[in-house]
Amino acid sequence: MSAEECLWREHVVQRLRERDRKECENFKEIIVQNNRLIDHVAQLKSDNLKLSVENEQLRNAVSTGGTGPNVAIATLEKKLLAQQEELTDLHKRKGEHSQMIVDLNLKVEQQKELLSEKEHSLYDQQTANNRLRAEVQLLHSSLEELKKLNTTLLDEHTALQLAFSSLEEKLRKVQDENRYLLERLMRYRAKDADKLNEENESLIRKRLPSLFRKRSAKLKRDLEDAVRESNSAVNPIVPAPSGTPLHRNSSPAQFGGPAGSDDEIDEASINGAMEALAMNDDEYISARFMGGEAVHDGVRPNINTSIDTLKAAGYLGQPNPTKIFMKFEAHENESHAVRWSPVERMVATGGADRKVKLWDVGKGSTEPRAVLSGSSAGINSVDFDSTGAYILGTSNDYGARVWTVMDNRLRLAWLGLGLDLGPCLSDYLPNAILLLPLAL
Amino acid sequence: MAHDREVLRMIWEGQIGICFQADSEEIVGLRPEPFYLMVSRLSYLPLVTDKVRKYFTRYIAAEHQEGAVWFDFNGTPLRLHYPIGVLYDLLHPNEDGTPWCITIHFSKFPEETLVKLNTKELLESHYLACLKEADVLKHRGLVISAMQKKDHNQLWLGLINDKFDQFWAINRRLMEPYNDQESFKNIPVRFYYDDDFTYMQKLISPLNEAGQKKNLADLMAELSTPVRRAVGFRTHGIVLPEETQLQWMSEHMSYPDNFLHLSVDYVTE
Repeated sequence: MSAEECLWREHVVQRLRERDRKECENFKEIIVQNNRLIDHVAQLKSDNLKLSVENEQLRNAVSTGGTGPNVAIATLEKKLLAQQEELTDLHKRKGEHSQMIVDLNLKVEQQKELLSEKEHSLYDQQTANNRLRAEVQLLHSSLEELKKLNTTLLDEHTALQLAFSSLEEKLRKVQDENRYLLERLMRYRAKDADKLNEENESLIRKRLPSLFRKRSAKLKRDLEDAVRESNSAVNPIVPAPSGTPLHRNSSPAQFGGPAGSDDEIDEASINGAMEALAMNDDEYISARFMGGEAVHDGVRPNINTSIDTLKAAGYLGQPNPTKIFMKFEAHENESHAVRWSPVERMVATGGADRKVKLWDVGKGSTEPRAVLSGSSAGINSVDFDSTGAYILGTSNDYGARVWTVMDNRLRLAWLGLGLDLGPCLSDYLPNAILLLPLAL
Repeated sequence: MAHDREVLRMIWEGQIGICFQADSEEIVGLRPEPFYLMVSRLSYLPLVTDKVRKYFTRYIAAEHQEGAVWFDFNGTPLRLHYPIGVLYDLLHPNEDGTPWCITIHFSKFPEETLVKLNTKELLESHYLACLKEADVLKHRGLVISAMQKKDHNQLWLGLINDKFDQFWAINRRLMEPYNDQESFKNIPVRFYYDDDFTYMQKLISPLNEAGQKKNLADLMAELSTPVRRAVGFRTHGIVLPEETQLQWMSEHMSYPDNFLHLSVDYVTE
C-alpha cells in the first residue's frame, strides 16, 4: 500500500476506534453484567415460582385434609413426644447415676479412711508384736538363767540333804550317847537318893521309932504281896529299869515318914528325878507304871476286892505305886509308848520294832490282842481317840498313822511331816490330833 | 484482496448496545425491566433477539406470545432484513451516549411496512440472495456459483455464530479481484439518505476512466447533482475520509452480505 493509502487507512482505523469507544466500550461490560443479572433473576423467579407452586400444592393438600401427610405428621409428632419423654427419662437417670456416683465416691472415701486406720492399727500391732517378741526373748533368756539357777539350787539342796542326813545320823548317835549317859547319871543319882533316904530313915528312926515301925511294917507287907503277885506273872523287864524296884521299895518307905513333909519331899524328889529323867526317858515312866497297870487290869472284874487287895498290897491309896501288877515283854526292842484305852481294859504299846501292839490287861494274857503294823520306823508315841475306836501312832519315819481298833487296819497315814517325829506325845483331841514333838 | 486483517477485525467486532423495551400495551402484570444487549453491527435483528423474545414473552398476554415479533424505534418499525449497523446508523441520533432504545412488539405486525423475515431460514435465503447479487456485480457470479452448498452454509454459520475465521475463510474468495484485474468488476454498494430505509443502488465501477482506483471524492462527484451535493459518506458509524479507495472499501468495509451500505450526506445547493 502506498503512503497515501496508509494515511486514509489510518484515518479510517482511527475513526473506527473512536466509534468503538463511543458505542461499544461504554456499554459492553455493563450490558454483559446486566444480562447475567437478568439471567440470574430469571432463574430465581423460576425457582420461586416452583416453590410457590409446591407451597400451594402442600397447602392445598393440607387444607383439603390430605391423610397421607397428616397421618405422617401425627406419627411424627408422636415419635417426637416419645423421644422427648425418653430424653427426660434419660436425664433423670443421668441425675440418679451422678448421685450414685457421688455416694459411691463418698463410700470409697470412707473405705479408704477405714483402710488407712486399719493399716495404722496393723502397724501398731506389728510394732507391739515386735516388742513382745523381744520381751519374750528376754524372758526366755531369763528363764534359761533361772532354770540354771534352779538346777544349781537343786544340786545344792541335794548336797545339803546329804549333809543333813549325815548330820542326823550323827545326832542320833549323839542322842543315844546322851541317853546312855543320862541313865548312868540317873543311876548315880538314884544311888545318891537311896543314900539320902537311908540317912533320912535313920534320922526318922531315931526321932519317931513307933511311927516308923508301923509304916515300915506296912511297907514290908505291901512289898511282900507285890513280890508274890509279881512273881506269878512278870516278864523280865529291860535291865534299865531294874533299879526301879529298889526305888519303888524305897519310895513307899519314904511315905512312912511324916506325911506332908515326907510326901512333899518324896514327891519333890521323885518329881525332881522325873523331871531330870522325864524328857529323855519314856521307857522309865512306862516301865514304872506298867507294873501298876498290870495290877489294875488283873483285878478289874472285882474292883473293890482288887482295890482292897491293892491297898493291902500297898498299891492303892498311895500316891506312888510300889508293886508291879504285871510285867510282860511288849516289844523286841525298846518300848517307847504306852497308852490305856479309854473304853476297854486295854493297853496300846509302841516300840522300836515299828509295831503297835494291843494288850488285854483284863485277861492278863501275855500275847498281844493285836499287832498294828505299817510304820517303817520305830513308834514313838501312841494314843487312843476318845471313843477308843482309833489308835494314832507317830514314828521315826516322819509319819503318823491311824489304825482302827476293831479290825486292826491302817486307816490313815500322814507321811513326810517334815519332822523327825522322835519321841512325841500324840493326843487325840475331840476334833483334831495334837502332836507334841518332845524331841528335836 | 482483503488482507488488511486489522481493519477486517475491527469491522467484524463492531458492537452496539441496545436497550429493548416491551410494548406497554402488551404487558400483562408486572412491568418488565428493559433488556440490554450488545449486538454485532453486522448481524440481523431476528438472529440476536431470541433471548430478548424469551425474556419479554413472560410479561405479555398469552394471546400475543406466539405472534410475530417486530421492533420499532420511536415509532419507526425496523426492517428485519437490514443489518443492525445499518439501522443504527440511519436512525440513531448522533451524540447520544446511551444504548439504543428499541421497543419489541409481539402483536400488530405492520404488514405493509415490514416483510416478515422473522425466521432464520427466511433470513438465510435473503442473505444468500444478497451475496449472489453482490457477486454478480463483482465477478459476474462466477465465484459464488463455483461455491458449493457447504460453503454457503459455512458463511451463514460463521455469521450467525460470530466466527470470524470461519466466515472469512470463504468470504476471502469473494473478495478476490475479477479475473486479472486488480479490482472487482463493479462495486456492490447501497446508498442511503434522508433517514429512509430505501436505498439506491447504482452501478459503480472501482476504476475511473483512467484506470485508477476511485476514491470517495470521486464517488461524491458522481453522486452529486446540481440540486444537491454529496459531502460525506458514513458507514459503520464513522465518517469516511475522502481519500479512501473504493476497492479497498469494498473489500474491507463490506457487510457480510458483501455490500457496502453507505449513508450519504447531501447538502442542498
